[in-house]
Amino acid sequence: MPKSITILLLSGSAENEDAEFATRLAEAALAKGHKVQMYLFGNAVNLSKKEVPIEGDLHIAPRLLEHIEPTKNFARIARLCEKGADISTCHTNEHARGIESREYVDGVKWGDVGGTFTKYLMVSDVLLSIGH
Amino acid sequence: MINSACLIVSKPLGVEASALGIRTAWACHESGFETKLLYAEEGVWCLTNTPGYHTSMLKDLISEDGEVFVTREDLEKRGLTEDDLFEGVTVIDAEEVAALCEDCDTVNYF
Repeated sequence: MPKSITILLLSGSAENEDAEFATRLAEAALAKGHKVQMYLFGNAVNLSKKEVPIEGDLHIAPRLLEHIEPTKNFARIARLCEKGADISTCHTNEHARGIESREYVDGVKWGDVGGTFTKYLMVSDVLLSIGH
Repeated sequence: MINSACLIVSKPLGVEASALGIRTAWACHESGFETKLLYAEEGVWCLTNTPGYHTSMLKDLISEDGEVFVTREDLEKRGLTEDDLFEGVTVIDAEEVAALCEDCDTVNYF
């Protein structure tokens, strides 16, 4: 029987593998027919914004770049939204990072813990917090 | 359906996750979820009546009948006693934590 799963994600892409795990788990749950809601909290709000690449030489060694690029989760977040996941972000944590005005990854929505997150909870069978 | 939540805060003042814990507890409590907020490990420092956001939010939560707990063993490890905490915090033994969690539909760790 399909369940409604809310994932509270607390980590961004760079500091550990929690974001990769959470987004892959969300993909798997969607593929099984479950409903997925994801609230990006703390450093996870960094996943909510489109990349702003610089122009020209990155000054990053190629092997380091090869190490970093696969850890990014922006594309998977957009793909999750396309597949029907409901993903929103904590605008207060965005504000704390000075990124509130930047453009969201396609499909990601503005949110707040008092409104968006608790609404997710009201229709959830499972709440899973991921991040450290 | 989730009706109750146990939120465990293990991070001290100065670590963002500790603020996320109290913010989540406040949001859940104000939205009508039965909410238990438990402080453990380094999180116990959030209960020591320091000036600022945490103490202000916790006192508001307690004044609105929010339930706040702390584990006795984690206080003792840091040389703290119940007298170092502000009023309204319930000190429990570590062995009581499992029952606290079992009473809730979800347990989350900050």
